[in-house]
Amino acid sequence: MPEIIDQNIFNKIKTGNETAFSELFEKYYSSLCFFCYDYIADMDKARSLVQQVFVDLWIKRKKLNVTQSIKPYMYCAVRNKSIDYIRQHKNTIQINEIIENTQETPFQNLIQEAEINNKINASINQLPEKCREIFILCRIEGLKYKQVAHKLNISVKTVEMQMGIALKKLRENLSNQKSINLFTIFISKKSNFLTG
Amino acid sequence: MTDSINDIEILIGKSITKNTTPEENKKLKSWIDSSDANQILYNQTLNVWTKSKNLFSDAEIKEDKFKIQAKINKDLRSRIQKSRKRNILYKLAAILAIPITFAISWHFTQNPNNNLEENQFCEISSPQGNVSKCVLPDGTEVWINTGSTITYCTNNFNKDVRKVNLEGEAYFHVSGNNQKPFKVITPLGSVNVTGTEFNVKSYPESNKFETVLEEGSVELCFLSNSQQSLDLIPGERAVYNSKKNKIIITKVDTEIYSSWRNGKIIFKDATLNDLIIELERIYDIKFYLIDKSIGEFRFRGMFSYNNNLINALEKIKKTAELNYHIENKEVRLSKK
Repeated sequence: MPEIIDQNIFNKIKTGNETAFSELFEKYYSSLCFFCYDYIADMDKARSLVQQVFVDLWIKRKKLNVTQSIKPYMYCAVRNKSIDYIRQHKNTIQINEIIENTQETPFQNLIQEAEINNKINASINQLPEKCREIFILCRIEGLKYKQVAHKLNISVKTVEMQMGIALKKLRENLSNQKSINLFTIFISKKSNFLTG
Repeated sequence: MTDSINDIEILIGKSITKNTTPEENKKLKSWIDSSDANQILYNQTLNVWTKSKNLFSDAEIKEDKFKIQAKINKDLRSRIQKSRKRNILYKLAAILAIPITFAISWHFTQNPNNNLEENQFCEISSPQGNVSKCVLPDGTEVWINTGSTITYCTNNFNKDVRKVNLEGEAYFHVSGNNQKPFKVITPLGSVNVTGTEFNVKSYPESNKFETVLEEGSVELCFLSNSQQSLDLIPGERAVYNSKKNKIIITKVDTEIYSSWRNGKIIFKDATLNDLIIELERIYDIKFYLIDKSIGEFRFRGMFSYNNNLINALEKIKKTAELNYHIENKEVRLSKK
């Protein structure tokens, strides 16, 4: 019954319990950041907006009167912050595909999406060190296998192996949960593989 | 764990990362087309890849947690100051608007120390690599460690409670006065005394609040649990960990914890991890351990604030058999 526990966290925060606040952070912070990213397409900014939501929550905790449980409350707060941010910066912000998508996708789906992103992120952080390093070089720095091999002074074969392992692990971690149905939605959208 | 990994997994990885040759593409395509299960497996992997575009490391998450704490502290401080200013301005405007001339003349003749200046704060900090000493209006001596700050309200300070806010580490030699208790306040807890000598350490980036009592007696209060208070006797060190919500009290050689006053840090059985935290503070640099295991290496010895960084690093290099590499305010330590 996670909802009841959530309500409890909220009541504790109201009375100034820092441990509860810390728990709330551990539980939702990174998911909320991914969620915010979907709105504003800027990870650094997303982090700082979500931080502000947490700061506001703590500072105004005594005045808050929330009847719903804390999870939807947090996501709503982040959504409102994001929308405010887009409004204030509409002249400077680049409205791209990501941002447009969020305006059509239902709120609940965006939350699920963020939780999946978070789950993948957590799985990446749990990869064995070498494996993780290779994955990051490929994914974040966009290096080719050959470049990764050269940079780390290992064989291309090792990079191939490690990337195979990394992707397999991430996929398996993710399909352990009930998100399979979301994959099927995804499949229908992404059938143009290997053409790009 | 040994991972068995078959060729097709490797091929999927190569394809998603665009490392395939045209022949390999063909091979993969025919594998995918051969069954629905294959198609799903491929799509799932591609999905994972697409959604891993933003990486958010555990270290970054931790860092953000501290940022939130710092923002909360900063906001509270500015709120207190703002509300005081606003209150006083409004009151002055409303009450003194008409009889302003009377008020001013009364103010100067009757009560030169009126609370007009109530919101004045005095802030004393030590720059990186230095220790400062100051004497508070009540005669209390304070040594402020590198990168630390104390703040007090100049007008209220000596009225009934002597209140000082501390960010970082400081050593207090409080002048005795039973009527006016002395209070050191940090984000995690506070120390109440009448007249003693003690060291308080509570850097904002750590979750620890630490007090070492040299002389006299002190009472500790913890912000997370205001009912709980604790008395220390001389020679005791109390460390409160806000994360674990735990207090540990040990008998210590107090000199180790106050030696920094003379610009020296003494280590007795400290780990390299402990050491680099101090060095980062003194020299305003960042350390990286290439091998995590070397962090557990134990040290005993003394470092002086006056020595330069190279001296300190040479000492470490000799005793722990490490190599160091300096680049842009970053020091990397690795095994020899």
